[in-house]
Amino acid sequence: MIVAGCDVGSLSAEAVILENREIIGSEIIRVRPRAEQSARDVMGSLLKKLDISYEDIDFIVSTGYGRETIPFADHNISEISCHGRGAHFLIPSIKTVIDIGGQDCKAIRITQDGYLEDFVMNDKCAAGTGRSLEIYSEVLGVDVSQFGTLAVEAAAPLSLTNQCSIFAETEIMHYLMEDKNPADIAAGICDAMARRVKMLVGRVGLKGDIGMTGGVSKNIGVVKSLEKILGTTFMEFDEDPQIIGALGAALFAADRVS
Amino acid sequence: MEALKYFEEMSTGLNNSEIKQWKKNGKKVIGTLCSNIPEEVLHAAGLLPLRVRAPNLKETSNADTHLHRINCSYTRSILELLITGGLDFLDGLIVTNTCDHHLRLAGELMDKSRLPVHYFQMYHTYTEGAKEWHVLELKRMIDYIKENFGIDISEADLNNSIDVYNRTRRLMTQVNESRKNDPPSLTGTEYMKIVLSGMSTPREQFNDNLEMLLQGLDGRKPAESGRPRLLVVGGACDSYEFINFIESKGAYVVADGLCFGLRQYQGLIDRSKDPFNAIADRYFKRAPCPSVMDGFDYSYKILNDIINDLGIQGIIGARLKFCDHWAGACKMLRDAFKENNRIPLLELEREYSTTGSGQISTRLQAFFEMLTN
Repeated sequence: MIVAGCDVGSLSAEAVILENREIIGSEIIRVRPRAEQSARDVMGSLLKKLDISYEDIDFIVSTGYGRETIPFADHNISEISCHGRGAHFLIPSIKTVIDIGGQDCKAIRITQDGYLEDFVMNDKCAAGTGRSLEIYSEVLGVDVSQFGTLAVEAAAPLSLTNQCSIFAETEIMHYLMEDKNPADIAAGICDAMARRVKMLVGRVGLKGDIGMTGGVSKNIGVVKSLEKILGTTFMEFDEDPQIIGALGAALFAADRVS
Repeated sequence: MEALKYFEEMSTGLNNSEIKQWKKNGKKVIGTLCSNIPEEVLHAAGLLPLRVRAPNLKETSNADTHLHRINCSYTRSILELLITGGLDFLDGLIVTNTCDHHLRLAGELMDKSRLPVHYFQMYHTYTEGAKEWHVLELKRMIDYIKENFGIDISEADLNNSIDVYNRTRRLMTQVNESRKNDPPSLTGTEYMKIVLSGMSTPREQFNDNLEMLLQGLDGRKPAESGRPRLLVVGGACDSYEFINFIESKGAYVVADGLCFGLRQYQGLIDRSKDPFNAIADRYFKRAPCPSVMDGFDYSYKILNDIINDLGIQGIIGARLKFCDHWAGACKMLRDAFKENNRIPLLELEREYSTTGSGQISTRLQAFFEMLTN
């Protein structure tokens, strides 16, 4: 049995293919302007890598922001359920998932079988999302992939008071004009983000082992700040945490076939 | 079904054909801003109470000049309607102090409207003093009607109106009985159109159309069974498009705890009492909204009964952005229902004109996945 999951988000698109419920390949790309194109490109790229075709796949589940527009998907499921399911598959003891993606931030609680139990989302603004980190990285003059390693070098994290990421950008610029250490600024940003996430997580409640998914989970600065502020340690996945949504979708696809 | 077509027509837009005909007949229409305002008194004076809404309003830039951005979008929409002439067909307005946003709107309407505006002071607690005040406020409303429209209202007039309104409430109870079926005989969208028609047409005509509707409901199945059954609660939620958006994601809205619904149509008036106390009593005893400070326990009990009667599996808390009352109520309801019945509540923050969005779609879909797990 071969199934696929395709996750089209706001910044990245991922695909995962399972054979008999084992991961045989995954792919991550930057999104295109149209969700359908992102889906075709990421799936196309993965299929080519594995030397298989759409005809070989028994069932495809799509998820993410663009899930309803993917023509080759047999069914679509919310990314909330998919992130929970994917995280659980990799580490069955996980009961809480924090997913920080490009444009939103979610706290997800799952049952012991990995199904959705409760959730809370914040997508009212960019603060506390991957997109805001991209903005701040640009202001600091670093690539977003280096932002986290910069933050962990901080000697004295600075305090950022602005809720809004646009105004926070201005605050960062002021710090730079005052010759503040960019590492301290980056750490301050991570702390501010962690505080926002803590507020969200508080509404759903932390339970059991906790995993972080989504692109921002690769930012070591945010991860460390969150662990400090939540008083916990996140479980570490063997797979790239960015593919977990697509993995969950693929598992739901497998359910349909069995 | 003919009756449903009638309700559809009457609920689209504010100044509908029934209102136009009413006015052509030389009669008057009074806008009300809250279901706490006792319409029976207006009806007794031969006036048509119209619950003011702002359907299809796209933007509120005129109102935004006068109101702060933190005022909710309902208040901004109504003020926008006034400023742009959308309420010119009314003959009077009754405003009230449901909440701070309403209070702000009341001030603006009194300042800017050429209509005679009456400020009805609603109660905020369940005390004897508040009930006595409520009776006094009814009488003050009668004075407003006398001063501005030259109409005297007798006790007999009030009793007659009570009968008409009681008839509506009995009929609506029967309509709600049909929503206990699976699938319910009416979708939530259809029901909301009925609700809105009742708040914007002559009451006697509405009652007649409800009778016709009830004749055609037996055995009606608008779609397939087995979908999650939802209760929708919240403030200023009068958009059937929004209810439709929820249902289109694969559920039925079978009950509500809304002003546009439960609070309008629940609770008979006791004819054995004098009409003033009888009317005040009904407004005290029917399901409260969070503007009643000590009303939570009672509200919870009523909603809990509804949940049991209608087989509710999930609750949608639809609150307007910046709505303080419903922010509190949604949290309290969420916690109480989680602890006591294990019925989950999904909070959906919206603007008054929101009919649906990608963000709402994701939350709804995840919520339904949760319910069917």
